[in-house]
Amino acid sequence: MWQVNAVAPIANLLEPTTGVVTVNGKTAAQSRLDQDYGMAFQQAGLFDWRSVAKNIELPLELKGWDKEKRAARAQEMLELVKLPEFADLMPWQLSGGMQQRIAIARALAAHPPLLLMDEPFGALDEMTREYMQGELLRICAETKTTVVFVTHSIPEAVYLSNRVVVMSPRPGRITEVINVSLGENRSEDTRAADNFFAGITAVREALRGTHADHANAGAIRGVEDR
Amino acid sequence: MAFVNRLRNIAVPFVFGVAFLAFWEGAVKFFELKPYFLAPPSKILSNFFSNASRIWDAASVSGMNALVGLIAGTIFGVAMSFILSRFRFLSSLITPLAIALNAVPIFVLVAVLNNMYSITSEIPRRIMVSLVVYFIVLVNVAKGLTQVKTTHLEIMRSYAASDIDILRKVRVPNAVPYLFTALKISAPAAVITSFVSEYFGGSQNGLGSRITSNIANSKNAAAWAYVLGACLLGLVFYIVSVVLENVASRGNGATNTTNK
Repeated sequence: MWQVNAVAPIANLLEPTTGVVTVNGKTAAQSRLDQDYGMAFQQAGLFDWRSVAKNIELPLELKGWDKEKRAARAQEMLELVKLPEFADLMPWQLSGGMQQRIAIARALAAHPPLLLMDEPFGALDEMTREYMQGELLRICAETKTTVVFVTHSIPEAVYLSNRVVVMSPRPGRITEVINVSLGENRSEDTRAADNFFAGITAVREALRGTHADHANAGAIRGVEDR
Repeated sequence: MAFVNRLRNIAVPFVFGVAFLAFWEGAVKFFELKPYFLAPPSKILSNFFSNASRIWDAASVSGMNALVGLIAGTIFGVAMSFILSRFRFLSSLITPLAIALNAVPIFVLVAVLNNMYSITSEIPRRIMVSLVVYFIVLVNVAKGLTQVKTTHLEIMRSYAASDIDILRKVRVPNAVPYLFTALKISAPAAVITSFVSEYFGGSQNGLGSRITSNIANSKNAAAWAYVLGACLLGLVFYIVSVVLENVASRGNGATNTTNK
């Protein structure tokens, strides 16, 4: 049911094969119960029968917040994702990119210290995708949230990350951890910077290495170069 | 433009209906068909109005049976679908039974039920209607409660939501459109079942029994007048269920299945 990737064991959706996953010093199960993280998936997964604001309020409802506090926080989150006037619309009235922004707003509504994202921009077109990457960097900087972000796109990984963890296909194992030296303030200009391309090359080589090892085991060959 | 389209949507079936009735009337006149063979629409209509109060009485008996059965069947169907979606093993026991029962023309059960209650009782007919409605509601609502998007369940799990929370916030809202679909199918089925149940004996007070008794007495036009009443009753049930669905889904994309 769940794609096997780094997010699943951290989110306590899967038990790790060996070893223990700790999230900020707690077990994964405990941190799930304490709601120490928010999650966003490839599909925005908004609830069709709830307005945009009510979707964002859902995690707060489950935490037992009262009505005024929830509404205030929902409005705050809508401003964070720059959609303040959309509170009363229904999810199906929004574009894919807007839906994904609402999903991020919902994931961050309870101000968790950690945000787990499983290919959240995978279903978006290229323009929207780059815009969303910039927005994610801004939102994380503003809210001081740590993000674990799963992607199949090398440029996306390098642009967003301080550290890129490369995983091998079948079996999914961590093969390399690459530090990205792009600094804190990234902009559209970063996409043309030399160390951005250096980062892409480093990640690509790490991926090639894993693929060469598994080429005969039927592993995926080409790497999506987006 | 929209107005013209709307007008056309109404006008075309209306003109066709009038032309069909005129053809029927003309055929009866032209071929001099005997009234016991086929009554002309004009005679049926005059019969309908002259018998209006009796047709109304019969319609309220059949309508009441359909309504009571519809409500009872819906309540039991919804209750059972909650139990089935909670305990999956029960579902594997009951689903084959439900399918088997649906394969039998279960109207015949009314003959059995008639033996269990007094001959003038409306209860067997109402039980019959609720049985038919029950299975339609059960199957649809159970589907709505169980066929929930995986992403929604994962999100609820990441919020550490309890089963009750998932039921209240995800499963029940997801099942609401399924309930209204079930009602839209059940409403005409309830009316039909209510008529057909009257063919198996009991009081001769409903539309179904009036149709048979008038045909038995060769009062063809009167029988047709009761058929017209039956059509109208079925329409009323259907229209009310459609209106209810529209009210329930107003401003909510649940019925807007073209999305995603």
